[in-house]
Amino acid sequence: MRNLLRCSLIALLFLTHAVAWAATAPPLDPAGGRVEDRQALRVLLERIEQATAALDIDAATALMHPDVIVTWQNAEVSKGLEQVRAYHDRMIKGASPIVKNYSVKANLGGPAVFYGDSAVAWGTTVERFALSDGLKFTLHANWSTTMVKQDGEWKIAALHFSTNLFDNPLLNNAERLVWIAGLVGLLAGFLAAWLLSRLRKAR
Amino acid sequence: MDRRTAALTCAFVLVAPAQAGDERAIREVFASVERAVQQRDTKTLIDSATDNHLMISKNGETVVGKPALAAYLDKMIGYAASIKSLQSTVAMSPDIRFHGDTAIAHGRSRDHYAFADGLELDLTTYWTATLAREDERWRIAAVHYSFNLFDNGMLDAARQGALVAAAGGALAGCIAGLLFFRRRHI
Repeated sequence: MRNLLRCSLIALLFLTHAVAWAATAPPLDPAGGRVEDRQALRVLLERIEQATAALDIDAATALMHPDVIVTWQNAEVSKGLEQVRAYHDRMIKGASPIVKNYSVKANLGGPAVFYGDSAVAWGTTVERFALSDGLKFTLHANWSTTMVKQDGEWKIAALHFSTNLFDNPLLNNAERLVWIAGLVGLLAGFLAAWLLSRLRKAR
Repeated sequence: MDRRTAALTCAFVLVAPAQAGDERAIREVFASVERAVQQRDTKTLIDSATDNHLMISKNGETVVGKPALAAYLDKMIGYAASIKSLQSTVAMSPDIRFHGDTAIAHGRSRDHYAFADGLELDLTTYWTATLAREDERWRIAAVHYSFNLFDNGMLDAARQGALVAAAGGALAGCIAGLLFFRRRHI
């Protein structure tokens, strides 16, 4: 349960900061076309960043499409605004805080790709976590989003977060554990041999 | 039945079959992708993508555009591939969200990988795909794969590795210790 809460809160923090790229995004290239739409998308992402940074779930969900689909780092999927809200409530209003300290640097991967009144954007984040239980780690993550224009207004329709399956801090910790387990086993074996030899000598 | 209700009913009767047709077409796109992955048919995979296709893969690579997709597929499942064999069962969520000529689908797949370096891995991956209708054909515009960061096949393999290392270490330590203390007593 504690693990679930921990990973869910981490995922929520992704939502809070994944769109922080807006502050560091490169200037718009007019050659890419649809400059007005691109500006509107940046505004949308800036607004969701501000809303979620303030943990203002009402403001955040106001920027999402009613049928939004969000896939979090713990592979949980929230479908629709109510589920996103329920997820937020479960994490924030749940048990004691799990994350002690958190910082993020997010980047935009490239210019958004338009498909009619929809747009796809993506990027990366580097996030530093200090958990209440003392664990500290840095996560290099990816995000992607699909946004749709509804009644002249852009809304977030899908949001997905991920990390590298083969290279992430949790796996690195687990791999370190293999070495530690091997060393502990070696020492335990040596100690057992010493006890056996003492026992044999006493006989 | 007033005029408004009649218009709404008419619209529903006209739109519902069209949407059902789109859903069928989208499901066929995924079925064809699933078959193509099993058969290592890179041509079909590339053909199912839009020109500016975005893929964020399970190993964290971001692949943008068809040429990059072709190179990625060649590296992974082409000649001298990193993946020796891949069995994948795709389960698509029943709800597809339509936004005009784009659609968002999501689901999970249960995969068994055998890598060229000998590693075998069972993995459940989660994906979100955005599809775009171009020239009356649905193509994949974006697909993002992920896994549960806190519970996945790689972590399981590492945990099993820790048990094996502990047991192996204990055995090695015991043998080394017995030899060492026997020699000291001689």
